Amino acid sequence: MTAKAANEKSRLVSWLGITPSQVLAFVSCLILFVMMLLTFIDVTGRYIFNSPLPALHEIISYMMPGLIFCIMPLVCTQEGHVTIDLFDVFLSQRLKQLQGFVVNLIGCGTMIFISWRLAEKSATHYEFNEVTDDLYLRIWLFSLLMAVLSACAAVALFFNVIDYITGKRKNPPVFKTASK
Amino acid sequence: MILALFGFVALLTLSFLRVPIAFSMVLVGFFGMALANGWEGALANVGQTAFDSAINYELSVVPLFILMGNFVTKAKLSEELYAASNAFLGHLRGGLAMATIVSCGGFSAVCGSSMATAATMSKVAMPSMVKYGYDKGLAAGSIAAGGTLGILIPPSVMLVIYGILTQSSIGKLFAAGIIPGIIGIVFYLAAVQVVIRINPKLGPPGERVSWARRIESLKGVWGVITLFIFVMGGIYGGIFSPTEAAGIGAFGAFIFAVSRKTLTLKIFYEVLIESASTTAMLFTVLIGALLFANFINLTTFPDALLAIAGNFRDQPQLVIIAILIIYLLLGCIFESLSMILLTVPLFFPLVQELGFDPIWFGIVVVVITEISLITPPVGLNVFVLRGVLPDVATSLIFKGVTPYWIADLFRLAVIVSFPILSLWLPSFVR
Repeated sequence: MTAKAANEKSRLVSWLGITPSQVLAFVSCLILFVMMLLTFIDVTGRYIFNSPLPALHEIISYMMPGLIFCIMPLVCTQEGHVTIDLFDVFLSQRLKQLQGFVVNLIGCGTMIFISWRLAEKSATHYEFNEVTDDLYLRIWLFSLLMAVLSACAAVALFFNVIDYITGKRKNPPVFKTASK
Repeated sequence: MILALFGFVALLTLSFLRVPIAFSMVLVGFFGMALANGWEGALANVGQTAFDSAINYELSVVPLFILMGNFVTKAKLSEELYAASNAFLGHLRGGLAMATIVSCGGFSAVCGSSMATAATMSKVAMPSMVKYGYDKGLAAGSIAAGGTLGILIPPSVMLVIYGILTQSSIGKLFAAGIIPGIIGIVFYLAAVQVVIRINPKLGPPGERVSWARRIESLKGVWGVITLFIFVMGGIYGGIFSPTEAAGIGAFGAFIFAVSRKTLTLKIFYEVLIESASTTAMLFTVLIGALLFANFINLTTFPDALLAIAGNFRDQPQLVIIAILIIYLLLGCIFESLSMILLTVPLFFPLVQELGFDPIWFGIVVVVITEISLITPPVGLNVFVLRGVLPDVATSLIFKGVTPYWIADLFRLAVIVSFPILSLWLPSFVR
């Protein structure tokens, strides 16, 4: 690969893989923080001012998929899912690279599959014009969003596969546990 | 039955090949359902389960408690906790290890995660123990073991997950965890004393502190006590739902961290990223586990289990012992959350059928999960310590932690034998 081609490839990876992951991760963080604030405001509103936030259960319920699925591409990029790495010590370097390739390929396939099923689910929601109980939000929008974000996670995993092919990644990372 | 067994073998094979456990469960769950009940149902189930798991108010308690734990960690409340425990216990032989365990117990009261507790306390307790010439194995072992209390002493993310899986009251589960948690601390302290009696050189005494300074040190722990009383008292008294308590707790921890000036913008963002990532990782496992459980429920496996258990109706204790042995073995290999999500849907109907209390079983499951966090070869808390203390060999930490998991086996026996220890406090929950 020439230097120019390599440069273009890394820009492509950055634009399609890393940057969207980071932007989405920011959105996820924002949702989490707002969720915390809303809960706090609701409880203080209820006990101090006798006026809780209306429909908060529903708002928080529908914030959850945003929180979970927006950060998913970043978790996938960092290979942050729970794995059993018991046999890592027995594998040679080449096998580890092959393992990283296969595992990310399987992960990518699984996320595409989940994305497809959620898209189908969204189509059903759309067909029956389903809305939420309190705020009459259109549910298909949320299921579609989950499908699209799962697809983004699949893209992130696909770039991991490429990294293992090109040798940019050589070892699947050790499962980071400190925050769990 | 055969299909379910093939499913378990496929799941283990994929997981051992290092496919993330969540993805392994999704794939095996889907293909299993398709083989058991046709493709159309299986395809519909995947979309439905993924959607329902994510859009769920009850489950919003999980990210909020994770967030609270991460804010508390950054607020450095751990330092005061350790200073106070140290002031009271540090001068005894093995006192610093004992202080570590007590402060781990205290930290667990505001943090729902074992690994976060171990990681946080290691930064505070290890330098002090090294300074006083403690054996590194004993020192690291006391942190790894003390850390396990995080998922038992409320708030606890594991108890929340168990509560949601089994439709049990989270408030009652939290209350149930308190006494077994205290028993855990007492047994760990006894383990330190036994080790020190055998070889006093492993844990020499630290400095004696005057009573005035001891009382002074207690002032430092008001933050932890306030947060605990607010969150647990709220749930206990029926003032907050668990989700509300988690939101309030996270907000309180956030205010603590801000007021103590430990929260720069960078650290604040790190906390949010870490909490959101952990949540996503956890929910992916949850979706996978639900799909896998749906598959298993379509097979004859649950009925076969119930039939086997039915033979032991006169001696239900034997079934519990069998379940405990399975957990101990699984715990050696599996990560704790995956283990709970995989096994609870299978064993819970058995336990209910035999007339055991769901709250008590939840505590038993969590205690056994705690043991799995420190048993080789996959003791996640030991790996946390290995990450934080790179110069201490893993084998040395496993050696240091051995007296603690032996103490844990005794604790498990006590909790299994005397359900009242777990069920007394929940009887007061409104």
